[in-house]
Amino acid sequence: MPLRARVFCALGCLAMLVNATLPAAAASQTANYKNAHLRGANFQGAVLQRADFENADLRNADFQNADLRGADFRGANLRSANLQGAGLQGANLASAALLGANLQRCNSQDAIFENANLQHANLQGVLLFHANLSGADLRQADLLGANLETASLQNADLRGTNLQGANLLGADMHGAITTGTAPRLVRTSAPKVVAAVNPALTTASPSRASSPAPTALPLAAASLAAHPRFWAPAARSDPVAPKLARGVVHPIRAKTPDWATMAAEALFGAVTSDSQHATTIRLHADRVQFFYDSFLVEADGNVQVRTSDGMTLSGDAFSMDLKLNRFVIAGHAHMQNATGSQDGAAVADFLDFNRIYFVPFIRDTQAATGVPDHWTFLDGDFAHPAKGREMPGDTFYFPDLGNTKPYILTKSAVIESRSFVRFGSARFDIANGLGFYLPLPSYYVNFSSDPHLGDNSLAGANYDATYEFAGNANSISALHFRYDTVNKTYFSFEQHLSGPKAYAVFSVNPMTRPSKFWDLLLSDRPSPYTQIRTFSQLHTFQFGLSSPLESQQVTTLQLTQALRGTYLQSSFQFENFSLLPLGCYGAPPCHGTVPNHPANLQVLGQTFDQPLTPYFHGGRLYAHMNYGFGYQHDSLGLQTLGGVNYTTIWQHQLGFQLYVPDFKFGSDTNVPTKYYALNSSFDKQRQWNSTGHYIDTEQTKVSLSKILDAHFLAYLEYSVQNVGDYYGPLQSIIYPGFTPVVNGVAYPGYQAFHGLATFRTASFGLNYSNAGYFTFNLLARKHTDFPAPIPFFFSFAQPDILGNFTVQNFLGQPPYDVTAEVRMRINPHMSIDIQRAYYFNYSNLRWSPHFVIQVLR
Amino acid sequence: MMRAAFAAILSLAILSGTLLHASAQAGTTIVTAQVLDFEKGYVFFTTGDGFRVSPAIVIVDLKTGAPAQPPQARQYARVTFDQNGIVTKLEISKTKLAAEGDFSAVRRFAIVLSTPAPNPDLGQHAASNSPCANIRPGKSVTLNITVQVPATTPLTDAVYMSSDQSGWNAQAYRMDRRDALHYRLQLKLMSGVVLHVLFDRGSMQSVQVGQNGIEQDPYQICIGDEDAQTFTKTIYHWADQQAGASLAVPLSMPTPYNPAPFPNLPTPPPPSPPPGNSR
Repeated sequence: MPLRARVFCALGCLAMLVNATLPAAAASQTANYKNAHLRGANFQGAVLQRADFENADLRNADFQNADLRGADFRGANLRSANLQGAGLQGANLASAALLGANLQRCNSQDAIFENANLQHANLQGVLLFHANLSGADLRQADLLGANLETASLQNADLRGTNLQGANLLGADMHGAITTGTAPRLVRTSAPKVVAAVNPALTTASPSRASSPAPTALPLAAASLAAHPRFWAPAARSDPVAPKLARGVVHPIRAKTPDWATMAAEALFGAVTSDSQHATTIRLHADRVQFFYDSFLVEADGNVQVRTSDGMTLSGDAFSMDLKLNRFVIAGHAHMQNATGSQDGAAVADFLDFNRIYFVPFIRDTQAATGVPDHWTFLDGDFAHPAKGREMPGDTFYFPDLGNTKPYILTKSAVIESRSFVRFGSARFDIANGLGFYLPLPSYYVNFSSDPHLGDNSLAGANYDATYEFAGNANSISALHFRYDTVNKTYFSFEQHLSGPKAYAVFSVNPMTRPSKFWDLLLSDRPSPYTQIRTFSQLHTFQFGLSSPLESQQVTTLQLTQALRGTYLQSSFQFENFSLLPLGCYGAPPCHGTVPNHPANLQVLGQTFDQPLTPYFHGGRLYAHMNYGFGYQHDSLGLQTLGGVNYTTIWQHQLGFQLYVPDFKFGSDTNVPTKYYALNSSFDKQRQWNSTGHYIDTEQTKVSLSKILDAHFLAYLEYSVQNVGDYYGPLQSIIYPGFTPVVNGVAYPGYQAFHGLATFRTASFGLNYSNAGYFTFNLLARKHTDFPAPIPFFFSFAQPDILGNFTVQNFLGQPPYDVTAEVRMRINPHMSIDIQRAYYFNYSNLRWSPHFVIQVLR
Repeated sequence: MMRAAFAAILSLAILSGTLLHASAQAGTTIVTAQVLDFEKGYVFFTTGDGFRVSPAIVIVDLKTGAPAQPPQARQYARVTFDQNGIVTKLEISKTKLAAEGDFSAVRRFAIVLSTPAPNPDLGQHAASNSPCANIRPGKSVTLNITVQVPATTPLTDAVYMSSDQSGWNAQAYRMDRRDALHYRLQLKLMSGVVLHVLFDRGSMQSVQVGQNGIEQDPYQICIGDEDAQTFTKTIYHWADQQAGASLAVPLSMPTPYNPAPFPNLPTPPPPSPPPGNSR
């Protein structure tokens, strides 16, 4: 490609990039009407995206069909304003006054109406999908036919509200007050509407005691002098006793970080995740059990507990719900910290709320053994217990475990709240519920909400049993026992490190097979809008750790930068198809080397989805575009054309996508079983190459689906994909037509193929699901492709281990295929998925080569 | 005469005995509860209430009726209170007992040194800290999850949900295709459970990312106490499909650059030699 053309390409890409960022810059100059007096103002059809109307006086103003996306109306007075048909997506109307306002058919998707006053407002047909109406006053408002799907109506006042025909699918109405027209709820997802007269009752936890409040005892009157044994020294010596706040007095974690934490800190800087504020609980007992299904740690016999905030507790029985983050110790309970000790019947620690509930025995002159009392320690203040305070009703409950077999049996555990539990010299149930236990030196379970500790760099497998043998809040070391149809059984190793902004994963997989992949995944987010990821993979073919017979490497560096309304992503990848000197290694047939070491760079951008039309039958048209340029290089050549070997190829591309999700039609579009959903998309992309050709890819998909009942759904889909590789005058040279002869049969139709292919697929799918216990999927497809499939002529696409085809645009797909899949839950935390396809004897292929069997957790 | 007098006395004795026994029965209360502690002359139940125990307390095994050891935490008991609220009999069971009696009727006998005081926390701290604060826990709830996937998702690709319930295993829950743009998953979960979830295509390399291309934080789902619950989300991009760029897939090396968009394009046969050169 001549230099001028290359410069033109680069300028074109630059222009597109600038163009993509220009609207954002323009949009950033938003209208500012903050505190303005705009009574009766006319904004009909105006474009006021992200305009600032905070605290403005907009009474009787007219915003009909105006574009108010992302506008700020916080505290504004919109009494009797006309917002009919306006676009309010993402607008903030928190605390705005909308009394008697007309919001008919306006689109308020994702809008915030928190604590807004919408009394008597006309909200007929309004789209409030995922809107936040928490605490809003909707008394006497008209929500006839409104779509409140997944909206939050927590504590909203719905008295007298007309909710006839409203779609409340997945809406959150907890605490909402409603005595008005009952909404017509979708049968399968009817949220529980709490009718309440007293709003205070709606916020009380139903799991707790709701007995009438007894006479309050002034806490100031509570005297420790009567109970000198318990933390008496502190109380006596100083009327303002020192507070023993959690994590301040005895920060065990801070004092004794293990090697993994230190490594994580060295890699990622100071680890300042929530785990630093977490409580560490060290538990010892005669018998410690872990129930994986319910995340319960139960212990019995000589229970000893030490917490990172300096408490030592003992008792007969211990129970901790790791998800609720609270524990209880009961039976001859003893509690001690640096300032004193106390006996009691039971103690419960609600870690999230900084509340410790205690039933102590108080020495009294009338009873030598002590008298029971109820104490509550607030916020780690052990010197001033709140005495006699009512306790939540379930404070000391022990779960009923029935005949459930524990997943792990041991004698000690270290628990970090909201993060992990590590068991010492454990026995774990290898049969998942049957009670066949295998001894192990330790066992670690992570239950934190940090997904990066689960971020793996392993490929899929049919079966994976993970043994996490070490770890803490920021790291996990795991050994995987795996099976797949290619490598059969093998072990893999994986090391995770994670911090608040960065994470790293290293793995060797399969570790016990000669063909090993050594992977390193790194990610860093220096800001919320920037992310850097790298992936490096080294492949070696070696027995054990002997000298490798093959060695290849690939590294990808990816930088993503979010912009307003778009994002840019650049990725640079370089490969060494052999790291060994050229030659042949090993016994014949030896392992050869490939001298190529290509590199490529891509800079691509994509705009956000933009709605192009208003909602119609629940659907609307969205669009986005993508653009970018690329560079390919291989010193040994990438493409030979006209006798010239091109070692460098420049590319640039432009594409767009249109799609309409969930266009609904039927007798009642609020009831999933009574409507059909039409989904369609159109995607077109052109890539120009410096070698004088361009590639067009165009795909159209249309599907019609119906939920038949609570278990069955079915869909029909038709897709057409056109792929064309255009070389202009060189077309017939690059793609010469010829007539293949296979097994003596000539196929002259292929003569017409000159680089332009069409893939048409008609699909029928049927799905049965019984709440995850049993699932059956059937997919039948008919392909009508050009060039037409020729038996034994085209090579087949090879699916991966899990049956997925990772490469697209394969020529010669079998004309018909049917895939059936069955998935069954075999115990509370394990399912098995079995899948197989049938190809109707195309190229002597009936069944897919093997069943795809996957064990899921 | 003597016989008649004896019969009358005997009848009176039986009647009075019956009446006395009945009055004694009327003074007792029987409830079932879970034991928290038994020590120092008190028995405590998991409600947090402690009751005085009679020095002559009878402790037996509920099934066999044989004398039993003092109860331990976690065990269940059928408890007999006398008219003064003193526990006179404990029938111990290791398995949960059916509810019997009205426990609130005996709570007035619970021994607490301090005067009861209201708890301003109740209904406050839970609501402010936990998304499941107002949920009645322990109910089996059907969760219907529907996600809208990018139109670029290949038809035959599997979509999974990973969650903190399964250690972020990328293939923990396989979803089912619903139509061209949607996948769904049905699960039975207990109310009160808080899930953090992300969606992927089988590995964390193909996990969903935000509309701005940056990886996103997990969604939080609180399982309510409705019969069924729905959760609907839109996935804008997959990490391995962003804007046409792709990270290499583990366990495979990238294929060499192919200028043609068809990976299995057949090679044309070599041109036939002219007829004159056939020999």
